Amino acid sequence: VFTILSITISTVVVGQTLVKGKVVSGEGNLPLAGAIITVKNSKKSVTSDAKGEFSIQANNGDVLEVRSLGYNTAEQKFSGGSISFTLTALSNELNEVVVTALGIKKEKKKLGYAIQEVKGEDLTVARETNVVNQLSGKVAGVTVIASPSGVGGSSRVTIRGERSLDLNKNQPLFVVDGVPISNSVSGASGRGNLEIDFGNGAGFINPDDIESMSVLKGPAASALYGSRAANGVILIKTKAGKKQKGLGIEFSTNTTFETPLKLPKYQTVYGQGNGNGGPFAFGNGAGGGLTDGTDEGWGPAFNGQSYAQYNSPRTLNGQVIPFLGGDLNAPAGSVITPTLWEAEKDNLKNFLQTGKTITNNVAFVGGNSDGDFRLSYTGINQIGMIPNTDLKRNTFSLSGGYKLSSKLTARAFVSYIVGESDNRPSISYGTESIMYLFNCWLPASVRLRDMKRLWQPGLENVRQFGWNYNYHDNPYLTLYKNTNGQLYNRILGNVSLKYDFTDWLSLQLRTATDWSNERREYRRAFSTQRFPFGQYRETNIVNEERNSDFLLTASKEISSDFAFSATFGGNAMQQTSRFNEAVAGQLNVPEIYSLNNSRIALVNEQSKVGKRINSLYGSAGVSYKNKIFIDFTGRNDWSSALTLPEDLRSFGIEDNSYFYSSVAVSAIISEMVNLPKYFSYLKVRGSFAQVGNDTDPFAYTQTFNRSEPFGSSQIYGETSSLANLNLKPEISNSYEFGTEAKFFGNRFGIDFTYYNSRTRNQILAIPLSNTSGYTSRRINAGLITNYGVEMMLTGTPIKKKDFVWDAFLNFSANRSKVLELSDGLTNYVMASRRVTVEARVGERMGSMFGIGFARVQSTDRNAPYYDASGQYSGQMVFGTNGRPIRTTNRIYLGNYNPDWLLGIGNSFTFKGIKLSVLFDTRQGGKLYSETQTVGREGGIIMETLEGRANGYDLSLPGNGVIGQGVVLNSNGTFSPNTTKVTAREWHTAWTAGRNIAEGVMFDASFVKLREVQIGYSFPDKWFKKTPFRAVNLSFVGRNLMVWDNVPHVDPENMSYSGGTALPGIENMSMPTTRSYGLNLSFKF
Amino acid sequence: MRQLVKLVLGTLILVFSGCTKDFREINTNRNNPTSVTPDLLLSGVIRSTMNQQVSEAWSIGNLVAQYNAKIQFVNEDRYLWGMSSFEIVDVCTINRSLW
Repeated sequence: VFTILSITISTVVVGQTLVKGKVVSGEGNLPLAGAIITVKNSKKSVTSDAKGEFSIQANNGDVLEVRSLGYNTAEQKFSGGSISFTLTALSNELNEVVVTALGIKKEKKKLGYAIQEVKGEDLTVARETNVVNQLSGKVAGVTVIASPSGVGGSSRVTIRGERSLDLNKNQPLFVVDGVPISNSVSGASGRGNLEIDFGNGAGFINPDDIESMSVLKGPAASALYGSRAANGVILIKTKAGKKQKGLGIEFSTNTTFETPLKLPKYQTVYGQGNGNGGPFAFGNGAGGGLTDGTDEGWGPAFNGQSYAQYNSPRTLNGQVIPFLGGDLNAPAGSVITPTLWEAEKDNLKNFLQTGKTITNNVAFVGGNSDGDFRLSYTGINQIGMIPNTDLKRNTFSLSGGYKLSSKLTARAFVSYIVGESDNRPSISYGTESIMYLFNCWLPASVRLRDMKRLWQPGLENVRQFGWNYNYHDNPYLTLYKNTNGQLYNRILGNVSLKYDFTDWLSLQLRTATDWSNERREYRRAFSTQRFPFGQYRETNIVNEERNSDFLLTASKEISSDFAFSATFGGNAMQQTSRFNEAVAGQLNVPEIYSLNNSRIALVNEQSKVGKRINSLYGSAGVSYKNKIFIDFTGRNDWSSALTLPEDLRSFGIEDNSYFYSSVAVSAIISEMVNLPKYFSYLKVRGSFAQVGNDTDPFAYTQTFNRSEPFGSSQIYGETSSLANLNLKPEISNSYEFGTEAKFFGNRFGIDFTYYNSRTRNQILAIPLSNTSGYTSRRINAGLITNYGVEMMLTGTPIKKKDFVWDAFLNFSANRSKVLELSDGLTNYVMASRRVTVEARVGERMGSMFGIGFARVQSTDRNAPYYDASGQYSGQMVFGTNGRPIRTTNRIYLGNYNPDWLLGIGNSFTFKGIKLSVLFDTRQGGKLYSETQTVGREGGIIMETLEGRANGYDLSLPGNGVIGQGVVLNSNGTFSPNTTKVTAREWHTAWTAGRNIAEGVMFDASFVKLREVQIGYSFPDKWFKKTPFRAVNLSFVGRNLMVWDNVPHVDPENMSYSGGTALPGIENMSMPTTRSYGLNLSFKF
Repeated sequence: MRQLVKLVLGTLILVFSGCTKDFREINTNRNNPTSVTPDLLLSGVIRSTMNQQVSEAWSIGNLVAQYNAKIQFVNEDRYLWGMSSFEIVDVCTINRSLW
C-alpha cells in the first residue's frame, strides 16, 4: 500500500526533485540528528537521521530551512545538486552541559530538577577569602551567612531552608570533582573564654582552581550522594588543562583593602562612672579611687574638668616620674596629676586598621588530543582590620589527564593547602573578645591609644597596663599577646582510571582523600583577667575522609526514537577524626609557651571518632526523541553509625541499611507543540526523591566521662543522655516541579521551581525528667516540612554591536514548618543564648523564643493583666518601681529565617569595558542583639543617652525615663505609668537584667550592594610586540553598602557557641568589612 | 578485559563484604569507659553535692536572707526568680556576679 501511495504522490508533484542533504553541527562537523528541515511556504518537513542526512522534495528556487534545538536556524536556497547545512550552536545555556551527581556531565535540558551554576571567573575577580560567601545573591534558594569574626571566618550555608532539628546538620555537602570533602567547623571551641572561629572546611578551597560551582538544590539532584546530601550539594569542578595559544601561562594578581562596613555608634557625652553623678578619680583601677572600679559609662559629662585618669602622669614630691596613673607599681607616695576629662570619639575607628589582602595566582596549562595538564599556585596574604590578625594561605594544585590508549584514560587532581594564621581573634562574650569591651564596657573617657604600652614599667610580660583592673584587659594586649595561632595543612585529591569498553559502555575506578591536619596554639599572657598566670594550650585535629568508588556507565541509542543510559556504582566512605589537646593551665615563666613550662598538672583531652558508609547505587534514564527524559536513581547505604557495638548487639534492634530512590522527568514542550513565535524554548520538569540519613558515631554508647580531678581524687560521671539502641535512619521525602522558558530568540529566560519536602524520624535528644538520672534521651522523632519557590530570570535587554546589557534576578522564598515532634512533646530547644531557638509544633523552623514584656490583654479573663474595658489593651505593664514587668513564660519573638531573598545582577559591556553590579537583599527575619542588651547596661551605646539629657539629677528636665505603659492598681484597674526611673536603671530594666529579650530584637532585613566590578579587557593588538595576551584590569568591590534597621551591627549576623553556629543571635560581633581593590590578569 | 572484570569483582567483594565486618568495631567508643569502679564515681558525687550546697544554699541563700548583697546583677537580691536567670545565665555572668 505504501509503495502505491508514494508513487501516487510522486506523480502528483510534478516538477519537483528529491533533494538530498546533510546537517552537521558547527563544532567538529559532527552529524546532527533530529534536525527539522522544512521547505519554506509549504507544509513539507522531514527530520535528519542519525547520520545527519535527509531527503526532501523541493522545487528549484525553494528555500530550505533547518531548525534544531540549541542551534541557530539556517536557510539555503535550493538550486540543484546536494545541499549541506552547518548549524552553529546558540551561545546560551540551552545546550549547556552541567555537572551533576557523581561528576556525571549532563545536558541541562535533560534534567528533571533545579540546578544552578556559578562560573569560576565569577569567583576570582571580586574575591572572598572564603569562597562560600560568593554564592550570596548569585544562586536562588541559597542563604549564606558570613560569620562576623575577622579574617577568613566561617560561613553558614543553607539551601531551601532548614530541615534538621540539629543546627549543625543543615548545611549542604561539598563535593570536589565528584568526591565529597569535609566542611567541618571544628572552629569554635567555646570553652573557658576560648571561642574562636577558625573557619569552615569548604572555605579553604582555593577559588582559582574552581572551574564551576553547581548547586544541586533538591534531593532528586543529590539522591545519588546519599545520606549527607539531604540538604543539597555544592559541586565544585576543578580546572583542567587545555590546549593554549602561546606558552600557556596564566597570571592574576589582586589587591584589596578592607575597611569597616558599619561601625557601632557609641555615646560620647558621659565618661566612666556608675550613675551617682559624682566625680571620677583613678585610684587603682579596681575601686580604690572614685568609681574607677566600675567599667560603665554612667559617669560625669565632659565639661572641661580634669580628673586623675589611668593615663594621667604621676608625680612624686612634685617631680614628674616616668609612671602613669595605671602603673600600680609606681613608687609609694606618688600622686596622679589630673588631666582633662574629654571624650575619645573614635576609639574603635582608631583601633581598627585598614585590612589588606594580596592574592597572586599563576597557572601553567597545556594539553593536546591525548592529555591535559594544569599546575597552579595561589598565595593569599591577608592582614585583618583588627590589629595583629592575619591569614596566609598557599595552595598548590596539579591536575592532569592522559589517554593511555584509545580506551583507557587516567586522571588525577591534587591540591595541597597550607593555611597559617598567627592570630585569629577571640569572639563572643567575655574578656578575651575585644568587641565585648568596645560595645559594652569602654566608656568614652578612656583614651585607648595610650594602652599601646602593654606593660607596667619594670614589670614587662608580668603585669599589664590598663584602665580597669577589676574586669578588663588591655585590648592591645589581648590581640598582641593572647594569640590564637593556626597552622593548617590539607591535601585534597583524587585519582581515577576510566576504561571505555565500547563507545557506549565505560567503567571508572576512583579513589580520593581529603586529609587535614590542623594545629592550634592558644597563648595567654600573665595578668590577664581569665588567666592570671597565663596559659598555653595546644590542639591538634586530624580529619580524614576517604572515598573509593566504581562507576559503570552505559549509554546507547536503541532506536532512532529511544536512547537509554544507565549507571551502576558503589562507594566506600571512611571518615576518621582525631582530636588531641594539652593544656598548661598556668605557666611558671612568662612568655615561654611550651607544655614544659606548666605550673600545674597538664590537662589532656583526646578522642578518636570514626564512621564508615558503604553504598551501592544506580541510575537508569530513557529519552524519547530527545524531547522527553526520564531518570530513576536508587541507592542503598550501610552505615556504621547505626550499627550496634558488639557488647550491645543483643540489646537492640539494628537498622543500619537504608534504601532510597528518586525519579525525575523533563519534557521539552517547545519541541512537541507549536508555541507562539516569541517562545524559543519551553521545558517542564518534575521529580520525586527520598533521602535517608544516619546519625553521629557512638550514638549507642553510654560512657563515663572524666572531669577535672578534685585534688588527688579522680572524678568520673555518666553521660547525661540516655542512649537508644533501636534507632532507625532518618528519611526525607520531597518533590519539586519546575519550568524553564526562553523568549525572543533566547534573549529572556525564566526558570521557576516549587518544592516540598518532608523529613521524618529525625534522631534527636529530647529532654527527660531529671528524676530519671538523665537529662535527655535519643529518639527518632519529628516531621518537618519545607516548601517554597525559586525563580531565576535572565535577560539581555540591550544587545547592540558595541553595547550589551545583561541582567539576572534570583528570587526565593522558603518556609520550614514543624508538623510533629514526639508524643507529648510540643517544643524542642535547638539552641539557647538569652533567646532560645526552638522547634515548636505548628511553628516555623528557626523560631526564637524568649522572655517578653508583660502586656495588658482583654481576651483571656484568667491570664495576668486582664483589662475588661479594653482601654489599655496591648500596652506594656510596669511595676510600681517603674520597671517593665516580664512575662513568666518565653514568648515568640520572631524567626531568624528571611521571608524571601532576592539577588539582582546587572552587567553592561561597552566595547572592552564591563561594569557589573550585584545587589543582594533578604527581607524578614529577626536578630537578637547581645550588643544591645549589654551595651545598654554599660551605658556605652548611643541609645543610653535617653534619660540623661541633663545629667543624672532627676529633678532636671530630660532626665530619667517614664516607661510608656500602665501599672496595675491594687483594685485591679490599670492606670498610666508615672514612675520615673534613672537612665542607668532604665536601660538595665529594659532587659530586666538580661532577661527580657523582646526589646532587643531587630528586623534583620537588609539590602547590600554585594559586588561591583569595572573591568577593561585590553585589545590584544596593543601587546603585539610583547608576550602578553588577554590583559584585563578591573576595579572590584565587595560589600560596599548596606541598608538596614539593625543598630550597631551587620544585619547578616550569627554567633558561635561551642562550635555550633547560632543564626539569629548576635553576640559581640566584629565590624564586617567593605573591601575594594584592583585585579589584574594576563596570559603568556 | 578479563583482568578488568576481575578487578571490578575484586573491588566489589572487598568493599561490600570485608568492610562491613568492621562496622561494630568502628562504632565502638574507645575514648571513654562504659563501666567504671565505684571509687571513681563517689568522689564526684560528694563533690557535686557540696557544690550545689554551697552555690544554692550558701551563695544564693545568703542573698535571699539578705546577709549579703550585690551591686550588679541584683536579681536574686530583689527576689526576681524566673527560670531564665538560672537557666540561660552564662558562666561569665556568674563569675562576674560573684566578684
